[in-house]
Amino acid sequence: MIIKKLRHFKTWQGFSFLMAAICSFISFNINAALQTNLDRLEPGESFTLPAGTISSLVLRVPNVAVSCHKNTVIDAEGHGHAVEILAEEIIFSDCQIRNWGQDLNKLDAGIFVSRQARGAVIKNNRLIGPAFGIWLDATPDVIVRNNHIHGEAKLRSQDRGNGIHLFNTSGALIEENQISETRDGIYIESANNNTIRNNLMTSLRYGVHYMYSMDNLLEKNITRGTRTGYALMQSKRLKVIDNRSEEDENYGILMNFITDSILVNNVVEGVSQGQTAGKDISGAEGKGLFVYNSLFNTFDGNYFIDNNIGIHLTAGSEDNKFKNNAFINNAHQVKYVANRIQEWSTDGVGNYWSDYLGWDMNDDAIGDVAYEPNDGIDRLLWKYPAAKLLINSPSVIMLRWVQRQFPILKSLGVKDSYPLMTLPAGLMP
Amino acid sequence: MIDKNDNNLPVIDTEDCHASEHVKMSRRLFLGSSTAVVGAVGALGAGIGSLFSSSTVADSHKNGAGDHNIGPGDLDEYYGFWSGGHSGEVRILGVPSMRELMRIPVFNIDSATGWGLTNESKEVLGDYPYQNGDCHHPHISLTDGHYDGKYLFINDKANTRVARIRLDIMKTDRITHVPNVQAIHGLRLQKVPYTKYVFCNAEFFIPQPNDGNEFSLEKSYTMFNAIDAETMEVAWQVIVDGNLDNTDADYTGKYVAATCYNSEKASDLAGTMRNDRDWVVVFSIERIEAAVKAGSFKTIGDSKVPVVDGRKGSDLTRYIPVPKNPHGLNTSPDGKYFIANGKLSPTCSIIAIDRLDDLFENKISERDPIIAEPELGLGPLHTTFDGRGNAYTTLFIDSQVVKWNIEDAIKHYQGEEVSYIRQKLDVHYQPGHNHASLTESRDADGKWLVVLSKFSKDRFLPVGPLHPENDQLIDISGEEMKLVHDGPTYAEPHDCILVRRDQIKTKKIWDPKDPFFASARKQAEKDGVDLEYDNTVIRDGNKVRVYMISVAPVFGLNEFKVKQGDEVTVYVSNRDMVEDVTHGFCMVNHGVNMEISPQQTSSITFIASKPGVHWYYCSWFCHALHMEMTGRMIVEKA
Repeated sequence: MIIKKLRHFKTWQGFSFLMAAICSFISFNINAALQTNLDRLEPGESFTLPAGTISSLVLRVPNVAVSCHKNTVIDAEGHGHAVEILAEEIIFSDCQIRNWGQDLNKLDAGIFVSRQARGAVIKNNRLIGPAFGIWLDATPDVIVRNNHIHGEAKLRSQDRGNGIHLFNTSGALIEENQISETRDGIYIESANNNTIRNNLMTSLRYGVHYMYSMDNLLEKNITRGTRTGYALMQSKRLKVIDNRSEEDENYGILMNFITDSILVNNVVEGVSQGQTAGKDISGAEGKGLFVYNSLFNTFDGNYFIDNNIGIHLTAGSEDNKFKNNAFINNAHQVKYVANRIQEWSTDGVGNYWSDYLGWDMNDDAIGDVAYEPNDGIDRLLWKYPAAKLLINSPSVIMLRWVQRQFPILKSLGVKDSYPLMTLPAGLMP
Repeated sequence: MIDKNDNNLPVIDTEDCHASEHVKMSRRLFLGSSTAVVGAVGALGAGIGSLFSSSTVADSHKNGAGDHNIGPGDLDEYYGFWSGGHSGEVRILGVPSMRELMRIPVFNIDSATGWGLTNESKEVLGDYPYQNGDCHHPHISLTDGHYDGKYLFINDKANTRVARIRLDIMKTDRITHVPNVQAIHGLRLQKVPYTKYVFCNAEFFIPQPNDGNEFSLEKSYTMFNAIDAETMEVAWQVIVDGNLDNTDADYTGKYVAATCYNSEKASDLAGTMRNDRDWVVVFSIERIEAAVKAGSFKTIGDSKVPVVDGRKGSDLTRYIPVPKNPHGLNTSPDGKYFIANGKLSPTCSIIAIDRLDDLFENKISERDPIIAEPELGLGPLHTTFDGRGNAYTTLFIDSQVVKWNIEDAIKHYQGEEVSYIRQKLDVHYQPGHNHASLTESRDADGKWLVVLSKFSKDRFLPVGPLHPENDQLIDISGEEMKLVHDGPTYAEPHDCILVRRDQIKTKKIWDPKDPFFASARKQAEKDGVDLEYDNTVIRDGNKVRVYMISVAPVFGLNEFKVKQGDEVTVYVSNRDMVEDVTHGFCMVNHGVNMEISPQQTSSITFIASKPGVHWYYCSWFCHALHMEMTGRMIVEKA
């Protein structure tokens, strides 16, 4: 790329501190000049926005790289988009953006990437503002990398925008971004073949809010302190790998009508009961994984620890493959609401259950009797840990025997015929 | 389970370094004595039953209030009217027993009653050739905000119609085709001072006129419609921006609100999802009536219906932005709020009806009527009420009903640290509408809640790939919602309405002067026939009218003669006075069957195309000699 040198801007930069102090008086003129300069760029050129506070900008020339001086602040003065990208192959980077509009009706955004802006690269920006952070408006092949997006915490959650909003995009790569205190972190709707990787999403409504989007890869993301980590809905062929949900509420990972997808090596830890005003909501127990009307999926090597409920499986979520998952110290390991029994092992490999009480007499690392997580005794033992002391007592043996003779006490549910005696190799909390 | 007294147990050395930790622990536990606490086992055992219940299907039936079990011979406390979806019919259930009491054919063809075959039903169905319908929203007429038990109205999304059912006879008596629009979806009634109008939303936008000269989306619009509830004529139509989904009316008679999920006016799925906010459009009935009266309307094509313009900027409407693709729109029974259900947003938007005057007078801005937007859970679709200040919203994605308190949600919105959610209850599976007893009237009594679940999956014995729906009954009389009943239903109830049994007064038998068969009476009069006594054949060219009475177990005529090719109309008047002695008239090999209930006259017309003998018989069981209740049609060769 040719670096276009603009002498008067070099000079201007030399006085950046002074200029920053008085910029509010002259920002209109500076902005008009800047906008003119941006509009006159030739494709292939680069341009650095000068230090100081400048107002909203529009990028109309394709194939340019626009970045910011380290003291540049783009301040949209409370309305509209701060930066709007209208042409192909534009690189926009290293800018501080704030105070864009809060009109959700108009999709106000820190960076609005329009339909025509195919191949845009948005990187290393720092955004603080009320409505959407970055909106991708059906734009193909966009890269959004290493942006920090912070919402306006003073606003009610529902009056804020989402951190990164993928509307009807394809081929997007969303990686290494940090998003907090927006409404939802990353919202994906009707958007296929995108990669969402290594993002950190904290203090949000939903970390990843997902509707009707196919063939996406979600990898190595972290949600923390959200009101649902990953809400995956009505979609097919997802790859959900190595993600973490930490201390989220309601759901770590929610799957509603998800088919032909894989969940591998995800860690869901400490999902707690949903609350309003600090009060627990009855019936909103924290679920590590909610699998609802979701079939033909593979669950391998996932780690569910310290959740109210490890997995809640229902609405005919059958024909899923489970192996090498670990269920550790979830108050209720599995909540299975259905009328047909499900085998949860694959090719002789089951899962690790922290409350498994059987023996491994032949020491083959597989428990000798099947683990049935809806077994009432297991729940009794969770609820009254002291009862473990009674495990060999005739009374408990009698109870188990009674329970098996009279299945009314025992719901149909999940059965793991090959429970693992130790954590699967390589599985780490 | 391992028997610790089994002498063949392998010896496990807990100090063996090759033994797994689990084995060591288990073995240690096994060997350890527990005599100190063995006494506690009895107590634990006694409480064990309750531990098994919460996640099991079987047990969910046992933990309810119990009084939903209506014993043999006992009567239900409520009538429930269920829409039959694309079966085109309406059904009556007893609540809380959930026993199906009756089906009312509306837009469908019904073999049992002859609906769609008889002349009386054809007159109601009108000139439209459709044999299907799609019923969603059944609503009962009101006077001063109380159900008056007179009519039930139901939409036909499939063929853009509205039907009225007379609740004294439980028969459809009028069907209106709404012009200039497509797909009547949301439907509600004026509540106050009485049901003067049936309000209904046409969902899809079309060019007007839709005559093949214009196809663009830009020049397509849809309309909000008002039908006069007595005449069933379309009173007026209002063109709107966006599309129209569900609707409800207030308790003053001034305002009606409707949701729009496609403010984008997109024809592709992605396009309908783009906007972060769509809207609720509010209609001022007074202003619309005044505009129509002042002549500020147009008509379109052949239709004479006044059409007014309610698009953005109009004085007749206001557009209130609400989050993303809202669906249900419900008025709280205290008349204070419209509640728009977020669908793609986990929120409901509460609109204060007492702020709408100011909105229409431009004293406040478009979002100001929103006084709360509680976050309830994933996929809120419809909200219903218990009359005690609580709302119950279906959450499609969570597959739950959430009970929440409206005033607490408002306080929370104003910044108070108040918890507004009371409880979430799992339902099975994918709830759509829900409906509490008397909830659309001032008399909402908070006893029963029906949740109409779209999938039943494994809740019933499998019956092949097509599954029943699952309409679940929930006891909401106490603080805690309790699921008490699973009700399988055939395609495909969208909504229901529960009304106290004393609010419905049905006729035990027909009045022989009932307007339902006025045309038959008129024809008989012309023919000099007394429907109540005469058995006779009137020939009128190649039209033959056969009049007969029926008294169990005989038809008034056990034989009549016609010529091949005659157009034959058979009028049967059931002279039985005894409740439930309904007759049928079925002409073998002619596709002819109909119901004739006590004191009713029914008629049916067919061509006697085949010479020979054709038996007719009584098809609704009536008498010990029901099988003997027959006759012969003699068709002479042409």
